[in-house]
Amino acid sequence: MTTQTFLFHYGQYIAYGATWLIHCVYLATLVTRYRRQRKELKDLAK
Amino acid sequence: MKRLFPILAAISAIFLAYVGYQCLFVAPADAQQGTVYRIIYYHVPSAWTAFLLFFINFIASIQYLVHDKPSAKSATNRIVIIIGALGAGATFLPVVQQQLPAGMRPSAVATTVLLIPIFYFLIGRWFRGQMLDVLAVTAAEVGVVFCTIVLVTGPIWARPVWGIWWAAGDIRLKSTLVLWLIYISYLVLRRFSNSAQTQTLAAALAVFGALDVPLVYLSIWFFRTQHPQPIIGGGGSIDPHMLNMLVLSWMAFLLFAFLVCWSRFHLELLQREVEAAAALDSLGSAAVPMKASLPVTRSTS
Repeated sequence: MTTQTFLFHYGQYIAYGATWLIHCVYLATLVTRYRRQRKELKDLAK
Repeated sequence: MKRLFPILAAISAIFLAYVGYQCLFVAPADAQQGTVYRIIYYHVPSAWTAFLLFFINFIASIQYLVHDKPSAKSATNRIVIIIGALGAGATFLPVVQQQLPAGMRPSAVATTVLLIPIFYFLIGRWFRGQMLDVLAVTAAEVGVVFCTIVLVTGPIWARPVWGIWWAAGDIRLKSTLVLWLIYISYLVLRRFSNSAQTQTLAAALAVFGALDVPLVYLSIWFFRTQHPQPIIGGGGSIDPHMLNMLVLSWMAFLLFAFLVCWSRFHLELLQREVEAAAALDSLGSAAVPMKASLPVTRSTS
């Protein structure tokens, strides 16, 4: 099965997966940044 | 407001799951493209959402640039009203309608032009001062995420349908890539510049960067391109079931984008709070040795 045929049959699932992978990676960075900022704020308050 | 977020997040998750199922398994297959065309259900809504967020970034940047200059602000208000009124009115003149590309509806152009004053005054009313800058960076960052999805999902569709991953000469593709690069540079500028003028410079860059958005959107009308014709506002055509699904998918992505922007907005506020606290802390720690050194300085003099 060539790449073209494979994508013709399954491309929509791969693109859907890619869409949510990008969103999840971005959300994970938001959570990480949020935790880091909260920690820094706590350290500064001490 | 804190209680509203989890409720909206739950609604958004259910909505996205429903739309995802409908798009991938229920929506009818295309007569020529089979099932791979279903990529449009997340490629196109992501593009529309990115355009909307870049537009919000553009408006917030203009508002930020003039927010502390009353004369510039009142001049900008007048210009925006004139653009809205003249632009929307002009699209109904026969002379202007003849200049519009085939398939572009005057009502769609008028609505788009009217969005400029509407968004401008709404954003100006709800956000003031530094909040405009916070909104601008939020919209730009989330817009880049959605634009990345557009650039990733497009080639996955193009390979089986066009036979190539990327049409190098296609203006729609190139202008979208340029748009993405402009906003990446905007975020890089904000991340790595320590100048007091960073926010102003970034706002100016955003104003020029936003000029690429209409070029991206209108490129398929004004230039010969491989990219499919627009399915809303004229040009191409789409089955009503597919169109309903597409609009539903966009609504789901819009709600999701709103929640992500909400989170990013609060993160930016927290980040600025930490920066202010750190600056205050460093000032305080610098002040202690200064006070301590005062008697010594006096005694030596």
